[in-house]
Amino acid sequence: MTRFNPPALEIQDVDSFYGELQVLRKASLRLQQREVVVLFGPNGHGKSTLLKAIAGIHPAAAGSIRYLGEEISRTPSAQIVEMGVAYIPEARNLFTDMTVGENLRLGAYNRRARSQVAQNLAYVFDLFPRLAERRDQIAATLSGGESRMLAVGRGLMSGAALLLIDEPSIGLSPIMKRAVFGAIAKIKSARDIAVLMVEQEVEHPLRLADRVYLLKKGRVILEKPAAEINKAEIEQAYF
Amino acid sequence: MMIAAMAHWKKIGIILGLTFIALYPLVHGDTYVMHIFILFFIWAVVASNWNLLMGYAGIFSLGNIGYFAIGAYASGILCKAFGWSPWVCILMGGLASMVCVTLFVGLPALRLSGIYIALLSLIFADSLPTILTQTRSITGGAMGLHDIPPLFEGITRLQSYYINFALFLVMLTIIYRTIHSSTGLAFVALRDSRSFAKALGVNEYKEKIKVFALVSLLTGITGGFYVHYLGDISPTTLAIEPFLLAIAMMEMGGIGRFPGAVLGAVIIVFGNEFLRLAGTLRLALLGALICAIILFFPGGLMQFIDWIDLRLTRLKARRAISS
Repeated sequence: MTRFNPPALEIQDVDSFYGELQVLRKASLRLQQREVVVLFGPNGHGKSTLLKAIAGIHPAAAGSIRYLGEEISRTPSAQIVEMGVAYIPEARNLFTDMTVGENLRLGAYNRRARSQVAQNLAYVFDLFPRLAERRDQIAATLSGGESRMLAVGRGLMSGAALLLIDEPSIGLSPIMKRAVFGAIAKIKSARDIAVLMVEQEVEHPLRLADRVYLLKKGRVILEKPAAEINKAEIEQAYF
Repeated sequence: MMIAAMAHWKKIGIILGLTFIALYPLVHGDTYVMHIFILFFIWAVVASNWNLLMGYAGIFSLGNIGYFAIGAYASGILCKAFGWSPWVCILMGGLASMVCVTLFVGLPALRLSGIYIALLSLIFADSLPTILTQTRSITGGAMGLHDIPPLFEGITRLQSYYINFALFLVMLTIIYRTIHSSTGLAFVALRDSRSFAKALGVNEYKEKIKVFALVSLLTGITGGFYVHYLGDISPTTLAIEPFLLAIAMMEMGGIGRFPGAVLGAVIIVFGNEFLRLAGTLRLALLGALICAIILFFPGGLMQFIDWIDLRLTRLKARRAISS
């Protein structure tokens, strides 16, 4: 029996502005279900903006964004989370006065996730044992790597089918980078989940990814299976 | 033994405090002091609710004495006019407060932020005395409402004491549980970072309405207990003094910290009463006390407690090293 399987994410001709400044110019990309896609590109060329447009935090000015075939470019962000899209912001965007456990519970705020809090929590603690140790600790006291783990864990708590991860490795030591990417690889193999990841660092994500996009000056300039592209080719595009 | 006691000194303190309150009437039982305790129970609940709205949800509401007064007046009027049971009237008063506040403050507040919510809620509370004096036939006007029936016929001070103590415990439990529920986490998330809270799927409108409805319901019910205990109420409840004292309770206790407002209420209610000996200097002395606490511990008494905690931890660490 064949079933119609819409892509996890389909973005077409998205424009986005900050005031007068246009950041995205007809950006288009597509993600199959269970696919891991990495979006590379120089700083300030619209990678994060694209994630924010998908998550509804900074809605797109024009174009279409479909999640599992459904148009979400005008949907409020809270509802997008409810539909199964989790956005994991860059750097330290935790609630620093709350404990690790409270941050995780907040990730499971949406109605769909509430029934599976215990399961998802066990999964996250299994993935990041460090978080289990620090469960009752205030999030402000975590190291850079630990807080990134918490951010990813919080995204997983929402029971999402699509994870949008903004630069998971930024500012981390090589060991921590490996730990974070290792966890993402585990998520990929164990869960029924699609991942769209924005990155600067090339090596690790390239090993993880199914496909790669390159974004420059708000346009998608390249799309290739990860196996067919190498580090030099990507870095070349940065200049 | 000493070390173990030190680690749990806060828990021990709470248990000792509650035991003292529970036993006081039986051991000593001065009716005047019991009266002060009852006022403390009431104001601690009002201030804790206010803290839930302002400290946790970060909604700059200045109208909470108004929410209290609506509950008190509604309960008093219903009880006098229809002769219903005060218990039913208290509940109706709470609901009346909830409906009024959610409609006239909560809903408009969804479109407002920060200082504009403060203005709106202040105007809401400030309009009440005028409304009360204009509707004298129902509310008793500037003279207020008198001879409001007590909770039951022939109630003694001792019974009032325990009823209000129970109110205090129940209300604080509700507030505590709310703070630690997913709703409470959502309040704090919205306060700390609105956009990221939304990115996690927090429904801002729903949570704001929820917190207004809850706080006004609980504050209104507390108003009902207050009015049936005292037996009368007038628009002076809405004057500047109770308003400032309630804010001072929150500030002194520590805004956004759970039992903070209760500690603030201890200082303000008892301080205010015992400073009556100082006559006209009372408010000046109270003001000086507030200034001193804010000056040395800007985070209020909760910060003072954290400070003691830190000292004790250091002491413990030093002993562990030397032994």
